[in-house]
Amino acid sequence: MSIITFQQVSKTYKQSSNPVIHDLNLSIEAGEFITLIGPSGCGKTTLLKMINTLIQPTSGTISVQGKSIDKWDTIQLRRMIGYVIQQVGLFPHMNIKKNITYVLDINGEKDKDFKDKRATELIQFVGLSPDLLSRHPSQLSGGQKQRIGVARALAADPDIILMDEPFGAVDEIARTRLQEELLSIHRKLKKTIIFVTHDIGEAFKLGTTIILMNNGKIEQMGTKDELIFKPKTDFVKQFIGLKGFKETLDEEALQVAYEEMKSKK
Amino acid sequence: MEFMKDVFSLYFERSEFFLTLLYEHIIITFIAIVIITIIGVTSGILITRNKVAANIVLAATNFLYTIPSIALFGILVPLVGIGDKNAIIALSLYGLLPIIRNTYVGITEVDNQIIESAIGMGTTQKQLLFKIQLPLALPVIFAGFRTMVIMTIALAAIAAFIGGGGLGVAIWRGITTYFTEMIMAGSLLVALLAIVTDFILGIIEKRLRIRILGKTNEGGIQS
Repeated sequence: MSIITFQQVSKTYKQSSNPVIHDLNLSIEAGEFITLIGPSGCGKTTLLKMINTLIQPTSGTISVQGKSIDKWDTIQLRRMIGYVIQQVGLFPHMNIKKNITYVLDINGEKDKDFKDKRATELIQFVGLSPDLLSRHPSQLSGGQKQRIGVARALAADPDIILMDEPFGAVDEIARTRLQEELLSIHRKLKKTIIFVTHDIGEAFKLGTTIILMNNGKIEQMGTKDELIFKPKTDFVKQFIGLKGFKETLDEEALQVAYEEMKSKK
Repeated sequence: MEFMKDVFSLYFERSEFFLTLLYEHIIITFIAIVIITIIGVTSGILITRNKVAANIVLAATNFLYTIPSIALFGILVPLVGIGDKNAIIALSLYGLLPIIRNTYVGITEVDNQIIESAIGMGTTQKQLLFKIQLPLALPVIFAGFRTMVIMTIALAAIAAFIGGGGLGVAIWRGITTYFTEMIMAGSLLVALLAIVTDFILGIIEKRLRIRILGKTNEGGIQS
């Protein structure tokens, strides 16, 4: 069943005459790990932010769990969608425990024991020690902050998690580790994740489905092998080929993809 | 040296007089500070919702700030008469600028990423103000509060010129009677009150920063 659908959605910002999203149709199945990729300004972040209504579409209909977002209570809708951004957006005045349980707090959860248990459970789930719960964000490294961001997004057990270039500001080693952990979380929890990135390697490594956007439109949506071996447009060929996916995809992954394609035939 | 000795003898000889004035000074200042804080913080919050209103209010408080204090006390005499009431109103008008400006700046300068993250998670406008914006703006607001308190303590000394109480009475009487020891005694107490208060507020401000941001941060809000 589709958990998120876009029907003929367009978005034009007031200060611009060109639509940033143009007549877009999209259907996302529950449990998918979608990676959104494309050149700067192609509309991938706008598309993501339209799901949790941080940006309103100019026209068209967006539905979440079969219900148009116009009919959802905005606050309620946002609380059932996890949200992680590049700078993490951890609240510097709250310790890590309060950051993780923030959504529970604003939802009116008063049970302190439950919140303590949930914070401990989630911090361990993202591979960190519960000792960090009493610290402030300024006392954590970039990678640790990102993990806390993920833990916070999971706190209310949302079905959907939106991630806007969450690992863009961490070093390569931490990023690789975070990617592995996110894949493991997705395998365990089967949440629907929509992940914006500008890194082709990251998009191909994480996504069960990859959406390649250009000029507010979807150029191609499909699995890694579909984009690699059946590029639909010249743009896809150029974006994947010329931007050097060989550097960002390891040979082994390429070989596996090729073998899979052959066995399907 | 002899002069300072006379000043200190004056304190001992007229201790009751000076303690009464000190008490009055603290009361006038305290009332003004409460009024300024309530009006200032509320106005500072409200003007963050409207840029035009913010410009008007900040320009008006800036203008008030440029009126010489003695003139403002004088202007208020025909309207509210002489005495403590006049003094408290004038002090309140003067003290508004640092509190309104710092509340406004403190709230509007909270990192956009933090605001977006909070809104994206389903924070209501009220929760955003009380759980995110105000706590994060608190060190900046408190810095304005500290400035305002010291300014009000110093300015309250002028209240005696329009019949208000406080340590200004000692200064004013000293001036009219050419009693320089009395002028010095009154002035020293005003300065001492300001210095001690500033020291205490400085400690509170430092602790507040540590509690809110997890470390001392003189540079303002961190992301």
